[in-house]
Amino acid sequence: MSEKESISIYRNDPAKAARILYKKGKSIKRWVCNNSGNSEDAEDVLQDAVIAFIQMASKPTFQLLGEPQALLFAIAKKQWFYQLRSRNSAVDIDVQIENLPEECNNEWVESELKMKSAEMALENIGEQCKSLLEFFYLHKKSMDWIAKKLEFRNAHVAKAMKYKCLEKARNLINNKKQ
Amino acid sequence: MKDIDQIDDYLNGNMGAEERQEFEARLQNEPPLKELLQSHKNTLGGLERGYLRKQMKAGLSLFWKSTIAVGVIILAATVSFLSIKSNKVKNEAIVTQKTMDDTTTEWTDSANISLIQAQGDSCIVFVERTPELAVHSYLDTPIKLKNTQTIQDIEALPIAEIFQPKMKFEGFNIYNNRDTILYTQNGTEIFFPANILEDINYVKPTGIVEIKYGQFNNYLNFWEHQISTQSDTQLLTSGGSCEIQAYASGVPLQVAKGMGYTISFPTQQKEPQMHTYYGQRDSSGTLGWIEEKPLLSPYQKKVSIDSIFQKTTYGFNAQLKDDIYVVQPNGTTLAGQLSGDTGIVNYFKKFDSLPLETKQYLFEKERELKFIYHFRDGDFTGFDYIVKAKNKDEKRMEKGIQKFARKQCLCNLNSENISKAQNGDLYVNLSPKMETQYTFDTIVKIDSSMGVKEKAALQKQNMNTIIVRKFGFVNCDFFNETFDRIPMKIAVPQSGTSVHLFFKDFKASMLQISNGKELVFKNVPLGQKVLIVATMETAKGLKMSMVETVITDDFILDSFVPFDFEKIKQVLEN
Repeated sequence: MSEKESISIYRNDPAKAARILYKKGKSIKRWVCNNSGNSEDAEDVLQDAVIAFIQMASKPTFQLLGEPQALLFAIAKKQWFYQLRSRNSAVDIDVQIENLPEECNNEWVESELKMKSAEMALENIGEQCKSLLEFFYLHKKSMDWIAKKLEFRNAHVAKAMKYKCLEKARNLINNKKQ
Repeated sequence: MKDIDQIDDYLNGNMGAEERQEFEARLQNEPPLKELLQSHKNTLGGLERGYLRKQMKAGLSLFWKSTIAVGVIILAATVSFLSIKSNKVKNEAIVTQKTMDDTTTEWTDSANISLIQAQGDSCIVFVERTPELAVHSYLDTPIKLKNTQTIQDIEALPIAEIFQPKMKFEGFNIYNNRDTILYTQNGTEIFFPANILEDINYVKPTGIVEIKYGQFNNYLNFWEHQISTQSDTQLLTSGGSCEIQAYASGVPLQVAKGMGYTISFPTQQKEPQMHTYYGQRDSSGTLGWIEEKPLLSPYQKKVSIDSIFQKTTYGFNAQLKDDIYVVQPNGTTLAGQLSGDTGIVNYFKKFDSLPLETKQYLFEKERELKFIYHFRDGDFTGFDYIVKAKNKDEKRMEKGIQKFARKQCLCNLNSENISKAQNGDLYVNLSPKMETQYTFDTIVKIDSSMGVKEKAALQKQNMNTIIVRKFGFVNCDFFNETFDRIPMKIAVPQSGTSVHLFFKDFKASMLQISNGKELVFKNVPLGQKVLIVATMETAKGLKMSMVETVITDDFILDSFVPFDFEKIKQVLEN
């Protein structure tokens, strides 16, 4: 697979990219287990790194300079050091990590953590809202299409529902923060 | 238009230049709007993350389920063969659709050997093998199901990543600020000198340190964990292997630079040439070993044999401000060493046989020692050292020790070390002030709280001791040069056959996974007994072969029977 092709998968088919990257990142789990993590941490770190990778790749400026595994590993390391720091203040989060792009700094990890918290909050938003928001924001479906699929009377109702769902999402996220 | 719609347009780049400028000005002036933008970004980020995780879990749920509701598509036939290699290999699976239920998305066949996940009338194929030797595969792209479907290009994952046998760890709590000796259930002794541990920021832990220790005790462990005793293609004889880690409040620790702890594995026959090896898995998941390279301190310098021979006498000074005890990489205790890498390590072997009180008398005092090396006609002939005595008793001791040193410390540079030096691989430690002075490479403290009797008892034990400077997989090994080595070809029925050789007479094992119908083990000891344990995946299930033979020539491995873990366990556990 050429580099161009693989970047296009990471950008255009995130589901497939997630599966490919998950497979490529198995060694990360071993690394986490060897570095103070248990198997649950390891699974978490790998999944978070895959997600962060795909979100990075979706940016138009994204360039894959080396092997995807190397970038994935670097992201995982950065995130894991950060998590370890939250458990023990002696851990250095500014440690130099090979293959890590400059933009993956501490602020970036902070924003990743915020989004993770948002993700957890959204688990309680309900299936209908989740499907609606996913169709609209992730699959870029029209309100007409969504109305038919989710059996709303028309696109206006679907749109009104979208506002409600977003508000519910914001409340859930804010409550989670508190 | 609602603010949120405007934000969507802004984020999606659907605004004209003017509109965008206006919106950005609003963002500057209206903090609540800016806050809403940030919160919306978070929501969308969280939404996307949840979706991606769901996609990953769609695969994961099948990866780790051992049983799954029996569903509708029955996989009549299965993978024609599976290679337990991480490289992508061409594989085929034939699935046959028997019935279909729109609502069921997961299926398995009755033998629980294959799983399939379907989305509508498309499917992604997963293959799961027996718990003892699990291999999982899947296709990234869903395929349209037909009545009978051949699926090609299945990627098998390394066995070690899937099987993940659990290591049985023992846990110890120690303090870093004092010397500690640990005894494991197997009688292995681990000695941590004080202040050897630090975190990645070089900070020494002050509280409790947790040591996790797991030992590979038998050949079954080697088979389960895909471990060989190979370093590159060379066969090593193992004196003990383990996995060891250290943590302080959950944070992994490392060994301070220039320091080492010792692991002493009990053995029936002590082997003086043992070296330290660190484990590393290759792409197929096989654990091989890399010999420890001596650390170069700022005062270490590469030397050529000529420069050593130019002078006849070398010496070094060592300040002894505490109880000290010098341990060689091969486990013998010494007063000093030329270098960790020269192999000139046995010249003061008999130091061990001195009464413990004598050793302690010398080393527990605060003394300055002077070491002097002697060469005659280019040959290293020995060394002695001088202790400045402070009273009569010490004066006697000083003389005794010097005499002992002169008498016992005769040693030649052997041909191997001369060739090392000629290749530029010989190192000596130089003190910062005088280039002709050597410093200790390894100094560890002896536990001063131990009684003399306990120490003496320890000395009597038959143990293979190594100095270790890292955590992780550690092996105490040496190249067994007793046997003639030949390359041995083993013919196997098919590609992807895993072949593990066990040389029980000298505690060694080799492992390979075939790419074709033949594999070659380099450096196999001629005339030695070997137990061959092989496994392969066939259309009729997992097969194994266990043969004991004597290595004389190439070998054909063809007697495969259905896989039976109990049989393997029975043979390898003892």
